[in-house]
Amino acid sequence: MANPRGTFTLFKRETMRFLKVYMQTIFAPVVNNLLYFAVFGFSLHRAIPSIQGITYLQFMVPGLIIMGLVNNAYQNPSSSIILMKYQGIIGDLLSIPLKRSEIFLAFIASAVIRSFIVGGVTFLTALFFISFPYTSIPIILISAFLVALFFSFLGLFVGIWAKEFDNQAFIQTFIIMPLTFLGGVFYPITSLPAAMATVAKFDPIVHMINLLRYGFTGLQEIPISLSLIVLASITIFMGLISFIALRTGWKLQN
Amino acid sequence: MTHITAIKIQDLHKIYHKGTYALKGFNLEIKQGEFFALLGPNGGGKSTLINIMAGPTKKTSGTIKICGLNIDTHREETKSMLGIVPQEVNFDSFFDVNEVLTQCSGYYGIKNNQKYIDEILEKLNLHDKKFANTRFLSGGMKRRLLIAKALVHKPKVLVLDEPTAGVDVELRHNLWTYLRQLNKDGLTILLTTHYLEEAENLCKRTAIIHQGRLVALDETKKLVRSLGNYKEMTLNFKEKIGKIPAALENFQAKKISDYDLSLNFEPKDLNKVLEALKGLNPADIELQSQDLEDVFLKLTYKNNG
Repeated sequence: MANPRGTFTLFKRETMRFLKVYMQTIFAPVVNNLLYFAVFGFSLHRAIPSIQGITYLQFMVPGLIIMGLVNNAYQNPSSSIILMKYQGIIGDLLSIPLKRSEIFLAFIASAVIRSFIVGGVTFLTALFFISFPYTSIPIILISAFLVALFFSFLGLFVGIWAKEFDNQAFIQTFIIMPLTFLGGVFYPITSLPAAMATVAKFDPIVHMINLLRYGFTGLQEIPISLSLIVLASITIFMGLISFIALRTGWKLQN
Repeated sequence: MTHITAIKIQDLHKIYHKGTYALKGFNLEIKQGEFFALLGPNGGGKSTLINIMAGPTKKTSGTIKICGLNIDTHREETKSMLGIVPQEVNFDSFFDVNEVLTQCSGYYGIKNNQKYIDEILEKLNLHDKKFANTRFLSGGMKRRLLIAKALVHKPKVLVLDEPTAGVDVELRHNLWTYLRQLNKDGLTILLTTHYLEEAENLCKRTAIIHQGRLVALDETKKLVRSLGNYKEMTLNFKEKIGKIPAALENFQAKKISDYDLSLNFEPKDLNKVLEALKGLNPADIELQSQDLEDVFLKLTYKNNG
Protein backbone atom coordinates (compact mmCIF):
# COMPACT_ATOMS: atom_id res chain seq x y z
CA MET A 1 0.00 0.00 0.00
CA ALA A 2 1.96 3.01 -1.25
CA ASN A 3 1.31 6.25 0.57
CA PRO A 4 2.53 9.15 -1.60
CA ARG A 5 0.57 11.78 0.36
CA GLY A 6 2.02 10.49 3.63
CA THR A 7 5.53 10.54 2.14
CA PHE A 8 5.04 14.08 0.87
CA THR A 9 3.70 15.14 4.30
CA LEU A 10 6.81 13.81 6.02
CA PHE A 11 9.02 15.51 3.42
CA LYS A 12 7.09 18.75 4.01
CA ARG A 13 7.43 18.35 7.78
CA GLU A 14 11.18 17.87 7.48
CA THR A 15 11.48 20.87 5.15
CA MET A 16 9.25 23.14 7.25
CA ARG A 17 11.30 22.18 10.29
CA PHE A 18 14.50 23.65 8.88
CA LEU A 19 12.74 26.58 7.22
CA LYS A 20 11.17 27.57 10.57
CA VAL A 21 14.66 28.00 12.01
CA TYR A 22 16.14 29.48 8.81
CA MET A 23 18.53 31.71 10.78
CA GLN A 24 20.57 28.74 11.94
CA THR A 25 19.85 26.35 9.07
CA ILE A 26 20.19 28.62 6.03
CA PHE A 27 21.63 32.04 6.94
CA ALA A 28 24.30 30.87 9.38
CA PRO A 29 26.01 28.42 6.96
CA VAL A 30 25.78 30.92 4.10
CA VAL A 31 27.34 33.67 6.24
CA ASN A 32 29.98 31.17 7.36
CA ASN A 33 30.89 30.42 3.77
CA LEU A 34 30.95 34.09 2.87
CA LEU A 35 33.35 34.73 5.72
CA TYR A 36 35.69 32.09 4.30
CA PHE A 37 35.24 33.76 0.95
CA ALA A 38 36.14 37.17 2.42
CA VAL A 39 38.95 36.12 4.73
CA PHE A 40 40.76 33.51 2.63
CA GLY A 41 39.59 34.56 -0.79
CA PHE A 42 40.32 38.24 -0.78
CA SER A 43 43.54 37.98 1.24
CA LEU A 44 45.03 35.07 -0.73
CA HIS A 45 43.55 36.28 -4.01
CA ARG A 46 46.28 38.88 -4.24
CA ALA A 47 49.05 36.62 -2.94
CA ILE A 48 48.12 33.77 -5.32
CA PRO A 49 47.14 35.44 -8.57
CA SER A 50 46.54 32.25 -10.61
CA ILE A 51 46.28 28.47 -10.14
CA GLN A 52 46.68 26.59 -13.41
CA GLY A 53 45.03 29.39 -15.30
CA ILE A 54 42.16 30.24 -12.94
CA THR A 55 41.98 32.88 -10.20
CA TYR A 56 42.18 31.87 -6.55
CA LEU A 57 38.56 32.92 -5.99
CA GLN A 58 37.40 30.76 -8.92
CA PHE A 59 39.48 27.94 -7.43
CA MET A 60 38.02 28.31 -3.94
CA VAL A 61 34.28 28.85 -4.58
CA PRO A 62 33.49 25.27 -5.77
CA GLY A 63 35.11 24.04 -2.54
CA LEU A 64 32.94 26.40 -0.48
CA ILE A 65 29.84 25.18 -2.30
CA ILE A 66 30.84 21.61 -1.45
CA MET A 67 31.23 22.63 2.20
CA GLY A 68 27.69 24.03 2.16
CA LEU A 69 26.30 20.87 0.54
CA VAL A 70 28.23 18.56 2.86
CA ASN A 71 27.38 20.17 6.20
CA ASN A 72 23.72 20.79 5.51
CA ALA A 73 22.94 17.47 3.89
CA TYR A 74 24.57 15.80 6.90
CA GLN A 75 22.94 17.95 9.55
CA ASN A 76 19.33 17.86 8.37
CA PRO A 77 18.41 14.20 8.87
CA SER A 78 20.83 13.63 11.74
CA SER A 79 19.58 16.62 13.78
CA SER A 80 15.96 15.83 13.03
CA ILE A 81 16.14 12.21 14.15
CA ILE A 82 18.22 12.94 17.24
CA LEU A 83 15.78 15.72 18.16
CA MET A 84 12.89 13.29 17.78
CA LYS A 85 14.68 10.98 20.20
CA TYR A 86 15.18 13.87 22.65
CA GLN A 87 11.58 15.03 22.34
CA GLY A 88 10.28 11.48 22.75
CA ILE A 89 8.42 11.53 19.43
CA ILE A 90 10.48 8.94 17.59
CA GLY A 91 7.63 6.51 18.36
CA ASP A 92 5.33 8.68 16.22
CA LEU A 93 7.63 8.21 13.23
CA LEU A 94 7.51 4.44 13.69
CA SER A 95 3.73 4.38 14.18
CA ILE A 96 2.62 6.26 11.04
CA PRO A 97 1.54 4.11 8.08
CA LEU A 98 4.62 4.74 5.95
CA LYS A 99 6.94 2.11 4.58
CA ARG A 100 10.56 2.47 5.64
CA SER A 101 11.42 3.24 2.01
CA GLU A 102 8.94 6.14 2.09
CA ILE A 103 10.38 7.51 5.35
CA PHE A 104 13.84 7.17 3.80
CA LEU A 105 12.77 9.05 0.66
CA ALA A 106 11.16 11.89 2.65
CA PHE A 107 14.21 12.44 4.88
CA ILE A 108 16.71 12.28 2.02
CA ALA A 109 14.70 14.58 -0.27
CA SER A 110 14.43 17.22 2.43
CA ALA A 111 18.15 17.01 3.24
CA VAL A 112 19.06 17.37 -0.44
CA ILE A 113 16.78 20.42 -0.72
CA ARG A 114 18.39 22.09 2.30
CA SER A 115 21.91 21.43 1.06
CA PHE A 116 20.99 22.76 -2.38
CA ILE A 117 19.54 25.93 -0.87
CA VAL A 118 22.75 26.63 1.08
CA GLY A 119 25.02 25.58 -1.79
CA GLY A 120 22.90 27.58 -4.25
CA VAL A 121 22.89 30.76 -2.16
CA THR A 122 26.67 30.47 -1.68
CA PHE A 123 27.09 30.14 -5.45
CA LEU A 124 24.74 33.04 -6.27
CA THR A 125 26.47 35.32 -3.75
CA ALA A 126 29.87 34.47 -5.22
CA LEU A 127 28.59 35.54 -8.65
CA PHE A 128 28.60 39.14 -7.38
CA PHE A 129 32.40 38.94 -7.28
CA ILE A 130 33.48 36.40 -9.88
CA SER A 131 32.35 34.54 -13.00
CA PHE A 132 33.05 31.00 -14.24
CA PRO A 133 33.68 29.47 -17.67
CA TYR A 134 31.24 26.57 -16.78
CA THR A 135 33.17 23.78 -18.49
CA SER A 136 30.46 21.15 -17.82
CA ILE A 137 27.06 21.96 -16.35
CA PRO A 138 26.05 18.25 -16.31
CA ILE A 139 29.11 17.47 -14.17
CA ILE A 140 28.21 20.36 -11.84
CA LEU A 141 24.65 19.07 -11.41
CA ILE A 142 25.52 15.39 -11.14
CA SER A 143 28.37 15.89 -8.71
CA ALA A 144 26.42 18.37 -6.52
CA PHE A 145 23.50 15.93 -6.41
CA LEU A 146 25.71 12.95 -5.53
CA VAL A 147 27.52 14.93 -2.82
CA ALA A 148 24.19 16.00 -1.29
CA LEU A 149 22.92 12.41 -1.51
CA PHE A 150 26.03 10.88 0.07
CA PHE A 151 25.96 13.20 3.07
CA SER A 152 22.17 12.92 3.44
CA PHE A 153 22.62 9.15 3.66
CA LEU A 154 25.43 9.59 6.17
CA GLY A 155 23.32 12.06 8.19
CA LEU A 156 20.39 9.65 8.25
CA PHE A 157 22.64 6.81 9.37
CA VAL A 158 24.22 8.93 12.13
CA GLY A 159 20.76 10.11 13.25
CA ILE A 160 19.65 6.49 13.61
CA TRP A 161 22.86 5.45 15.37
CA ALA A 162 23.35 8.45 17.66
CA LYS A 163 22.08 8.52 21.21
CA GLU A 164 22.78 12.21 21.64
CA PHE A 165 23.93 15.32 19.81
CA ASP A 166 27.49 14.66 21.00
CA ASN A 167 27.66 11.65 18.66
CA GLN A 168 26.56 13.78 15.73
CA ALA A 169 29.09 16.50 16.62
CA PHE A 170 31.84 13.89 16.99
CA ILE A 171 31.41 12.72 13.37
CA GLN A 172 31.19 16.31 12.15
CA THR A 173 34.23 17.59 14.06
CA PHE A 174 36.58 14.64 13.86
CA ILE A 175 35.72 13.16 10.49
CA ILE A 176 33.82 15.49 8.16
CA MET A 177 35.59 18.75 9.00
CA PRO A 178 39.18 17.40 8.72
CA LEU A 179 38.33 15.59 5.48
CA THR A 180 36.80 18.80 4.11
CA PHE A 181 39.66 21.09 5.10
CA LEU A 182 42.23 18.57 3.92
CA GLY A 183 40.15 17.91 0.82
CA GLY A 184 41.55 20.81 -1.15
CA VAL A 185 38.98 23.55 -0.58
CA PHE A 186 41.67 26.17 -0.08
CA TYR A 187 44.71 24.68 -1.86
CA PRO A 188 45.46 22.42 -4.82
CA ILE A 189 46.22 18.79 -3.98
CA THR A 190 49.08 18.90 -6.49
CA SER A 191 50.82 21.48 -4.29
CA LEU A 192 51.20 18.85 -1.54
CA PRO A 193 54.33 16.65 -1.24
CA ALA A 194 53.93 13.60 -3.52
CA ALA A 195 53.25 11.15 -0.66
CA MET A 196 50.56 13.36 0.87
CA ALA A 197 48.98 13.99 -2.51
CA THR A 198 48.66 10.22 -2.95
CA VAL A 199 47.07 9.85 0.51
CA ALA A 200 44.72 12.74 -0.27
CA LYS A 201 43.22 10.70 -3.12
CA PHE A 202 41.67 8.45 -0.47
CA ASP A 203 39.77 11.42 0.92
CA PRO A 204 36.34 11.24 -0.76
CA ILE A 205 35.88 15.00 -0.44
CA VAL A 206 38.94 15.54 -2.68
CA HIS A 207 37.01 13.78 -5.47
CA MET A 208 33.84 15.77 -4.76
CA ILE A 209 35.66 19.10 -4.96
CA ASN A 210 37.64 17.94 -7.99
CA LEU A 211 34.41 17.20 -9.87
CA LEU A 212 32.64 20.42 -9.00
CA ARG A 213 35.74 22.51 -9.66
CA TYR A 214 36.10 20.84 -13.05
CA GLY A 215 32.48 21.59 -13.90
CA PHE A 216 32.86 25.24 -13.00
CA THR A 217 36.40 25.97 -14.21
CA GLY A 218 37.77 23.07 -16.25
CA LEU A 219 40.55 22.45 -13.70
CA GLN A 220 41.06 18.79 -12.79
CA GLU A 221 43.70 17.47 -10.40
CA ILE A 222 42.48 13.87 -10.63
CA PRO A 223 40.89 12.35 -13.77
CA ILE A 224 37.18 13.23 -13.77
CA SER A 225 36.13 9.67 -14.62
CA LEU A 226 37.95 8.32 -11.55
CA SER A 227 36.38 10.92 -9.25
CA LEU A 228 32.93 10.20 -10.68
CA ILE A 229 33.33 6.43 -10.18
CA VAL A 230 34.57 6.96 -6.59
CA LEU A 231 31.70 9.35 -5.75
CA ALA A 232 28.99 7.21 -7.33
CA SER A 233 30.31 4.05 -5.62
CA ILE A 234 30.53 5.50 -2.12
CA THR A 235 27.10 7.13 -2.52
CA ILE A 236 25.48 3.81 -3.46
CA PHE A 237 27.30 2.09 -0.58
CA MET A 238 26.25 4.73 1.97
CA GLY A 239 22.69 4.68 0.64
CA LEU A 240 22.49 0.91 1.16
CA ILE A 241 23.95 1.09 4.67
CA SER A 242 21.58 3.81 5.83
CA PHE A 243 18.53 2.20 4.21
CA ILE A 244 19.31 -1.16 5.80
CA ALA A 245 19.73 0.56 9.20
CA LEU A 246 16.33 2.23 8.85
CA ARG A 247 14.64 -0.82 7.38
CA THR A 248 15.74 -3.15 10.15
CA GLY A 249 14.82 -0.68 12.90
CA TRP A 250 18.41 -0.78 14.20
CA LYS A 251 18.72 1.51 17.26
CA LEU A 252 15.16 2.77 16.69
CA GLN A 253 12.90 -0.12 17.62
CA ASN A 254 13.43 -1.96 20.87
CA MET B 1 -25.11 -11.39 14.73
CA THR B 2 -21.49 -12.41 14.29
CA HIS B 3 -18.90 -10.36 16.13
CA ILE B 4 -15.86 -9.31 14.15
CA THR B 5 -12.64 -9.30 16.18
CA ALA B 6 -11.07 -5.85 16.45
CA ILE B 7 -7.90 -7.05 18.18
CA LYS B 8 -6.71 -10.63 18.37
CA ILE B 9 -3.49 -11.40 20.18
CA GLN B 10 -2.15 -14.93 20.26
CA ASP B 11 0.76 -16.30 22.27
CA LEU B 12 2.61 -12.99 22.27
CA HIS B 13 6.11 -12.99 23.71
CA LYS B 14 8.50 -10.11 24.15
CA ILE B 15 12.00 -10.40 25.53
CA TYR B 16 14.01 -7.15 25.50
CA HIS B 17 17.70 -7.12 24.54
CA LYS B 18 18.74 -6.92 28.18
CA GLY B 19 16.77 -10.07 28.95
CA THR B 20 13.65 -8.52 30.50
CA TYR B 21 10.74 -10.84 29.77
CA ALA B 22 7.91 -8.32 29.26
CA LEU B 23 5.21 -10.51 27.68
CA LYS B 24 4.94 -14.23 28.33
CA GLY B 25 2.49 -15.88 25.98
CA PHE B 26 -0.15 -13.16 26.18
CA ASN B 27 -3.55 -13.87 24.59
CA LEU B 28 -6.49 -11.50 24.17
CA GLU B 29 -9.48 -10.99 21.92
CA ILE B 30 -11.46 -7.75 21.76
CA LYS B 31 -14.63 -7.53 19.68
CA GLN B 32 -15.48 -4.64 17.40
CA GLY B 33 -17.43 -1.94 19.19
CA GLU B 34 -16.22 -2.98 22.65
CA PHE B 35 -14.97 -0.58 25.29
CA PHE B 36 -12.33 -2.77 26.87
CA ALA B 37 -10.07 -2.14 29.84
CA LEU B 38 -6.61 -3.61 30.29
CA LEU B 39 -5.47 -3.15 33.84
CA GLY B 40 -2.07 -3.77 35.27
CA PRO B 41 0.58 -2.32 37.54
CA ASN B 42 3.62 -0.42 36.28
CA GLY B 43 5.91 -2.77 34.40
CA GLY B 44 3.12 -5.28 33.90
CA GLY B 45 3.49 -5.26 30.11
CA LYS B 46 0.68 -2.89 29.04
CA SER B 47 2.85 -0.33 27.28
CA THR B 48 4.99 -3.03 25.66
CA LEU B 49 1.82 -4.55 24.21
CA ILE B 50 0.63 -1.20 22.87
CA ASN B 51 4.04 -0.35 21.42
CA ILE B 52 4.13 -3.69 19.59
CA MET B 53 0.71 -2.97 18.08
CA ALA B 54 1.73 0.59 17.16
CA GLY B 55 5.21 -0.08 15.75
CA PRO B 56 7.99 1.23 18.04
CA THR B 57 8.59 -2.18 19.64
CA LYS B 58 9.29 -5.48 17.88
CA LYS B 59 7.68 -8.61 19.22
CA THR B 60 9.76 -11.71 19.89
CA SER B 61 7.04 -14.12 18.74
CA GLY B 62 3.28 -14.55 18.48
CA THR B 63 0.65 -12.93 16.27
CA ILE B 64 -1.47 -9.81 16.43
CA LYS B 65 -4.40 -9.17 14.12
CA ILE B 66 -6.19 -5.84 13.83
CA CYS B 67 -9.67 -6.17 12.27
CA GLY B 68 -8.59 -9.49 10.80
CA LEU B 69 -5.29 -8.31 9.32
CA ASN B 70 -1.96 -9.60 10.59
CA ILE B 71 0.41 -6.79 11.60
CA ASP B 72 3.36 -8.71 10.14
CA THR B 73 1.92 -8.95 6.64
CA HIS B 74 -0.25 -5.79 6.59
CA ARG B 75 1.87 -3.36 8.59
CA GLU B 76 0.73 -0.09 7.01
CA GLU B 77 -2.95 -1.11 6.77
CA THR B 78 -3.10 -2.12 10.43
CA LYS B 79 -1.33 1.09 11.47
CA SER B 80 -4.02 3.03 9.59
CA MET B 81 -6.76 1.26 11.53
CA LEU B 82 -5.23 2.12 14.89
CA GLY B 83 -5.31 5.39 16.77
CA ILE B 84 -2.76 5.35 19.58
CA VAL B 85 -2.74 7.70 22.56
CA PRO B 86 0.64 7.13 24.20
CA GLN B 87 1.31 7.43 27.90
CA GLU B 88 4.07 10.02 27.56
CA VAL B 89 2.95 13.51 26.64
CA ASN B 90 5.43 14.56 23.95
CA PHE B 91 5.05 16.79 20.91
CA ASP B 92 6.89 18.13 17.94
CA SER B 93 7.77 21.54 19.34
CA PHE B 94 8.33 23.11 15.91
CA PHE B 95 4.62 23.24 15.09
CA ASP B 96 1.31 24.58 16.36
CA VAL B 97 -1.78 22.51 17.17
CA ASN B 98 -3.36 22.85 13.73
CA GLU B 99 -0.10 22.03 11.94
CA VAL B 100 0.41 18.93 14.11
CA LEU B 101 -3.09 17.66 13.27
CA THR B 102 -2.79 18.53 9.57
CA GLN B 103 0.49 16.61 9.41
CA CYS B 104 -1.10 13.64 11.17
CA SER B 105 -3.89 13.62 8.61
CA GLY B 106 -1.36 13.74 5.79
CA TYR B 107 0.61 10.80 7.16
CA TYR B 108 -2.58 8.74 6.85
CA GLY B 109 -3.06 9.92 3.27
CA ILE B 110 -5.88 12.36 4.07
CA LYS B 111 -6.07 15.61 2.14
CA ASN B 112 -8.10 18.67 3.21
CA ASN B 113 -9.04 17.41 6.65
CA GLN B 114 -9.55 20.88 8.16
CA LYS B 115 -13.28 20.47 8.74
CA TYR B 116 -12.83 17.29 10.76
CA ILE B 117 -9.83 18.76 12.61
CA ASP B 118 -11.97 21.74 13.64
CA GLU B 119 -14.70 19.37 14.78
CA ILE B 120 -12.30 17.39 16.98
CA LEU B 121 -10.74 20.57 18.39
CA GLU B 122 -14.22 21.81 19.28
CA LYS B 123 -15.20 18.56 20.97
CA LEU B 124 -11.95 18.39 22.93
CA ASN B 125 -12.24 22.06 23.86
CA LEU B 126 -9.01 22.99 22.12
CA HIS B 127 -10.43 25.27 19.41
CA ASP B 128 -9.04 28.44 20.99
CA LYS B 129 -5.55 26.87 20.98
CA LYS B 130 -5.66 25.98 17.30
CA PHE B 131 -2.71 28.19 16.40
CA ALA B 132 -0.79 27.87 19.69
CA ASN B 133 2.56 26.13 19.63
CA THR B 134 2.38 22.80 21.43
CA ARG B 135 5.06 23.99 23.87
CA PHE B 136 2.64 26.53 25.33
CA LEU B 137 -0.22 24.14 26.13
CA SER B 138 -1.05 23.11 29.68
CA GLY B 139 -0.67 19.46 30.72
CA GLY B 140 -4.39 18.79 30.31
CA MET B 141 -4.48 20.40 26.86
CA LYS B 142 -1.52 18.31 25.76
CA ARG B 143 -3.34 15.14 26.84
CA ARG B 144 -6.38 16.19 24.82
CA LEU B 145 -4.21 16.99 21.82
CA LEU B 146 -2.76 13.47 22.00
CA ILE B 147 -6.33 12.15 21.74
CA ALA B 148 -7.04 14.51 18.82
CA LYS B 149 -3.90 13.21 17.05
CA ALA B 150 -5.08 9.63 17.48
CA LEU B 151 -8.55 10.41 16.11
CA VAL B 152 -7.71 12.64 13.17
CA HIS B 153 -7.64 9.78 10.66
CA LYS B 154 -10.88 8.19 11.95
CA PRO B 155 -9.33 4.93 13.19
CA LYS B 156 -11.35 1.77 13.73
CA VAL B 157 -9.65 0.99 17.03
CA LEU B 158 -8.56 3.56 19.59
CA VAL B 159 -5.91 2.50 22.08
CA LEU B 160 -5.37 4.74 25.08
CA ASP B 161 -2.38 4.13 27.33
CA GLU B 162 -3.31 5.57 30.72
CA PRO B 163 -4.92 8.70 29.28
CA THR B 164 -6.01 10.09 32.62
CA ALA B 165 -2.81 9.61 34.61
CA GLY B 166 -2.14 12.91 36.41
CA VAL B 167 -5.28 14.52 34.99
CA ASP B 168 -7.61 16.52 37.28
CA VAL B 169 -11.07 15.19 38.13
CA GLU B 170 -13.04 17.54 35.90
CA LEU B 171 -10.94 16.81 32.83
CA ARG B 172 -11.05 13.10 33.59
CA HIS B 173 -14.84 13.15 33.63
CA ASN B 174 -14.97 15.23 30.42
CA LEU B 175 -12.70 12.73 28.71
CA TRP B 176 -14.84 9.85 29.92
CA THR B 177 -17.94 11.50 28.44
CA TYR B 178 -16.18 12.01 25.11
CA LEU B 179 -14.83 8.46 25.00
CA ARG B 180 -18.26 7.03 25.80
CA GLN B 181 -19.69 9.01 22.88
CA LEU B 182 -16.98 7.77 20.52
CA ASN B 183 -17.67 4.20 21.60
CA LYS B 184 -21.40 4.72 21.15
CA ASP B 185 -20.64 5.89 17.59
CA GLY B 186 -19.01 2.53 16.91
CA LEU B 187 -15.35 3.02 17.78
CA THR B 188 -13.64 0.08 19.48
CA ILE B 189 -11.67 1.32 22.46
CA LEU B 190 -8.90 -0.39 24.38
CA LEU B 191 -8.07 1.51 27.53
CA THR B 192 -5.16 0.74 29.79
CA THR B 193 -5.34 2.17 33.25
CA HIS B 194 -4.24 1.93 36.85
CA TYR B 195 -7.64 2.87 38.12
CA LEU B 196 -10.34 0.32 38.84
CA GLU B 197 -12.84 3.17 38.99
CA GLU B 198 -12.07 4.13 35.40
CA ALA B 199 -12.56 0.60 34.15
CA GLU B 200 -15.74 0.25 36.18
CA ASN B 201 -17.18 3.44 34.77
CA LEU B 202 -16.36 2.89 31.14
CA CYS B 203 -15.70 -0.69 30.22
CA LYS B 204 -17.95 -3.69 30.00
CA ARG B 205 -15.07 -6.15 29.97
CA THR B 206 -11.71 -5.96 31.69
CA ALA B 207 -8.52 -7.94 31.52
CA ILE B 208 -5.70 -7.85 34.02
CA ILE B 209 -2.11 -8.21 32.95
CA HIS B 210 0.58 -8.96 35.49
CA GLN B 211 4.22 -9.76 34.82
CA GLY B 212 3.45 -10.16 31.11
CA ARG B 213 0.63 -12.64 31.58
CA LEU B 214 -3.12 -12.39 31.41
CA VAL B 215 -4.19 -13.13 34.98
CA ALA B 216 -7.89 -12.27 34.78
CA LEU B 217 -10.50 -11.59 32.09
CA ASP B 218 -14.15 -11.05 32.79
CA GLU B 219 -16.99 -8.58 32.78
CA THR B 220 -15.76 -5.58 34.74
CA LYS B 221 -18.48 -5.75 37.40
CA LYS B 222 -17.80 -9.41 38.10
CA LEU B 223 -14.07 -8.79 38.23
CA VAL B 224 -14.34 -5.88 40.63
CA ARG B 225 -16.61 -7.94 42.85
CA SER B 226 -14.15 -10.82 42.86
CA LEU B 227 -11.27 -8.50 43.69
CA GLY B 228 -13.18 -6.93 46.57
CA ASN B 229 -13.91 -3.28 46.11
CA TYR B 230 -12.67 -2.01 49.45
CA LYS B 231 -12.66 1.60 50.59
CA GLU B 232 -9.93 2.95 52.78
CA MET B 233 -10.69 5.60 55.38
CA THR B 234 -7.99 7.55 57.18
CA LEU B 235 -8.94 9.17 60.49
CA ASN B 236 -6.91 11.90 62.12
CA PHE B 237 -7.30 12.67 65.85
CA LYS B 238 -6.18 15.74 67.81
CA GLU B 239 -5.10 13.62 70.72
CA LYS B 240 -2.81 10.60 70.82
CA ILE B 241 -4.56 7.33 70.09
CA GLY B 242 -4.08 4.79 72.82
CA LYS B 243 -5.84 1.50 72.13
CA ILE B 244 -7.83 1.05 68.90
CA PRO B 245 -11.49 1.74 69.82
CA ALA B 246 -13.45 -1.49 70.04
CA ALA B 247 -16.19 -0.13 67.76
CA LEU B 248 -13.71 0.03 64.86
CA GLU B 249 -12.21 -3.40 65.23
CA ASN B 250 -14.60 -4.91 62.66
CA PHE B 251 -13.25 -2.61 59.96
CA GLN B 252 -9.64 -3.76 59.88
CA ALA B 253 -8.51 -0.76 61.92
CA LYS B 254 -4.77 -0.10 61.91
CA LYS B 255 -2.69 2.56 63.61
CA ILE B 256 -0.66 4.49 61.05
CA SER B 257 0.84 6.91 63.59
CA ASP B 258 0.11 8.17 67.11
CA TYR B 259 -2.62 10.40 65.68
CA ASP B 260 -3.82 8.49 62.58
CA LEU B 261 -5.90 5.38 62.07
CA SER B 262 -6.88 3.60 58.86
CA LEU B 263 -9.99 1.52 58.24
CA ASN B 264 -10.82 -0.87 55.38
CA PHE B 265 -14.40 -1.79 54.53
CA GLU B 266 -16.78 -2.55 51.70
CA PRO B 267 -18.87 0.39 50.38
CA LYS B 268 -22.09 -1.25 51.69
CA ASP B 269 -20.72 -0.96 55.25
CA LEU B 270 -20.24 2.83 55.07
CA ASN B 271 -23.25 3.52 57.31
CA LYS B 272 -21.99 1.07 59.91
CA VAL B 273 -18.60 2.82 59.88
CA LEU B 274 -20.18 6.25 60.31
CA GLU B 275 -22.27 4.87 63.17
CA ALA B 276 -19.13 3.47 64.82
CA LEU B 277 -17.38 6.83 64.50
CA LYS B 278 -20.02 8.60 66.59
CA GLY B 279 -18.48 9.80 69.82
CA LEU B 280 -14.90 9.35 68.62
CA ASN B 281 -14.76 12.90 67.16
CA PRO B 282 -11.98 12.56 64.56
CA ALA B 283 -10.43 15.90 63.53
CA ASP B 284 -10.24 14.91 59.88
CA ILE B 285 -11.51 12.08 57.67
CA GLU B 286 -10.21 11.03 54.26
CA LEU B 287 -11.91 8.39 52.12
CA GLN B 288 -10.16 6.65 49.24
CA SER B 289 -11.07 3.94 46.78
CA GLN B 290 -8.45 1.26 46.51
CA ASP B 291 -6.50 1.43 43.29
CA LEU B 292 -5.19 -1.46 41.35
CA GLU B 293 -1.77 -1.25 42.93
CA ASP B 294 -3.35 -2.08 46.31
CA VAL B 295 -5.32 -4.95 44.84
CA PHE B 296 -2.20 -6.26 43.18
CA LEU B 297 -0.17 -6.02 46.31
CA LYS B 298 -2.84 -8.04 48.09
CA LEU B 299 -3.08 -10.53 45.24
CA THR B 300 0.64 -11.03 44.85
CA TYR B 301 1.17 -11.30 48.61
CA LYS B 302 -1.57 -13.90 48.61
CA ASN B 303 -0.05 -15.76 45.67
CA ASN B 304 3.47 -15.58 47.00
CA GLY B 305 2.47 -16.34 50.58
